[in-house]
Amino acid sequence: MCAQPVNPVDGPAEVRPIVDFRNASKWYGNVIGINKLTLAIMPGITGLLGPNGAGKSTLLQLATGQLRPSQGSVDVLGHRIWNNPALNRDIGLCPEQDALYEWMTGRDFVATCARLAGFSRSQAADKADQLLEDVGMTRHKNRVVRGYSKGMRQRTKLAQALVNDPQVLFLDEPMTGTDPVARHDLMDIVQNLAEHGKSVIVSSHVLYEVQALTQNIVLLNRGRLIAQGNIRQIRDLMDKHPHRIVLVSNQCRPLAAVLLAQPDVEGIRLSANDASMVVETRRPDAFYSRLPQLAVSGEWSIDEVYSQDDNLEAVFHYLVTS
Amino acid sequence: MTPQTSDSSAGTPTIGNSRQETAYGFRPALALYGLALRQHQHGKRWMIMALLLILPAIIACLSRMTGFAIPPRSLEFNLVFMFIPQGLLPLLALVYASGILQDEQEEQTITYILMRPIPRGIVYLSRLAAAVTAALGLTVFSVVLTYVAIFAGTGVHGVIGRCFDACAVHGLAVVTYCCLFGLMGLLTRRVLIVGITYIALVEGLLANIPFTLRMITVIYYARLITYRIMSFSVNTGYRVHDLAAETWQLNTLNDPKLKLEPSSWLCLTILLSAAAVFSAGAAFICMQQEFYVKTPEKTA
Repeated sequence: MCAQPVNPVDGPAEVRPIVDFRNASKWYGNVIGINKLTLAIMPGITGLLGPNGAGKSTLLQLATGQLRPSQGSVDVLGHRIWNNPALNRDIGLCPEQDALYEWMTGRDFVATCARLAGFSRSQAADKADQLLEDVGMTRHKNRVVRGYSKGMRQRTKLAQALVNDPQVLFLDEPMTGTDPVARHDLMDIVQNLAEHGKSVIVSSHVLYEVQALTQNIVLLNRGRLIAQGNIRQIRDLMDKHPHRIVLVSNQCRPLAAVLLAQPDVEGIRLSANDASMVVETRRPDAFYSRLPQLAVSGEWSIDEVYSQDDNLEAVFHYLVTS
Repeated sequence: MTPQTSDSSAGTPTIGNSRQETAYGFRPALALYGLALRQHQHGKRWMIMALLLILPAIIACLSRMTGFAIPPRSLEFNLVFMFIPQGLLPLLALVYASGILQDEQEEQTITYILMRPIPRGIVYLSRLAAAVTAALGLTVFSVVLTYVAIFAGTGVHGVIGRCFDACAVHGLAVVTYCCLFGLMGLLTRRVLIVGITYIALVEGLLANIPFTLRMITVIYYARLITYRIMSFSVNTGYRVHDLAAETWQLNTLNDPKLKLEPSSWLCLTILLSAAAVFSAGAAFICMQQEFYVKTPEKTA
């Protein structure tokens, strides 16, 4: 591990976590799903990131009361979630598994879920129609689920998660296997929910999916919390690793010689065609503040500057695999 | 049910504040019962069981067509009161009740149920009720069909009443079996093996041995009720045979009124109490039990 878990981003003083793990562990026999996890998730969209087997699904199943923590506690909206069915009125889950009642139509499935949530038959039918429209499934709602594509299934699963108008929505790998259109639509739906005051916790092992949704992330690996907070805050954690800043210039070699003389530059790698270079620095702020002087001096032509570490992939790589 | 409150409720988003409160308990439970019934209807299980349950009627038809002079009452006893309760009903209950929640778990759809505001105990009981309904329906179907096959065109009187009595007693046995196997299904993953072993050893072997131990079997009480409310005497020309007393090892020689055996009401109470205890126990286990769902990640 290259970074210590950090405290969550501080919100307004009166805001309390929607999901609160306190020293929670979950063992499956000898296998550890979650290991002494202390984590507070604040309202808004939160991305839950980690490779396969990191414990994301276990975390979500604990947070939705499907599993009981072997140790510690899990609270949602200030209440213990395990064996607390009343709390299910306020949470929704779009599960990772693809299973649906295959013999039902999409409308029937969502209406059935609404009836299970306590709505009358007519209310449930109205709910189903509305939600299926919201997720873009109106055209296919009367088709049998068995013939649905992956994207249609994800949309239908999302619709069932929304039948009780939950305050907190848990989405377990919602983009898996979906085509770009479905992915875009699902992201829009999630953003829209957040704009309407819902909190969404979305798990994924595909980093750019989460990056497109939120800057607020939780990184898990092997059942442990690796880091939590804003992607930039997490990047700041990586003081053990030099930040990588890419400069595109037609004068890369002489410019590299100048930059190497700076105390905050650790090293420079030139690209094969000398068109760009990757500067490694432990003090990116100092480096960035010096760049305008170089540019306006007229001696150097700098076409483009960007940080490789703004990409979640890089952050993830640093924190998890190194 | 009140949510258990932790020590940090201040400032936490409130629960259920801006939307319609929905009924808690009954309506979702009813919806769950309806869903489970529909699942039974869409599965292949009922077709397989129905095929099995028409076997007595087929045997009755073959017996009548082949010209063997088996009196209808003998046929009735052997098929309706021996073959069906001993061979088919426990199996039917096992098939329907062993997977009350496990089927949903296997098919990974249990999440959609557990994520609803229904206590797990109620989830179990609703689905048990659906399994019992399906099993009862098939039991009545089998008994009625067998009676039709045996007695159609024979001119024997009182058949409808006997058919009704048979349905009632077999229904009672099926309810008890369903509750028992439902509990078994929560206690062991190999419920089919355990259940079949139970059917063979306890309900099959033990129930036919005239010993106190048979009082732990369901079939013993069902037989006692049957014997007390129905007559199984057949006149063979030489003497009157009490088919049930002889076959079921009831000591009518020393105790013609079976006063040493439990009364019909006691039998009924015992069976219903057992069913209630099994159901309550299973519901309690459900409330404590986790139902793991294999995610693609875990499967991989």
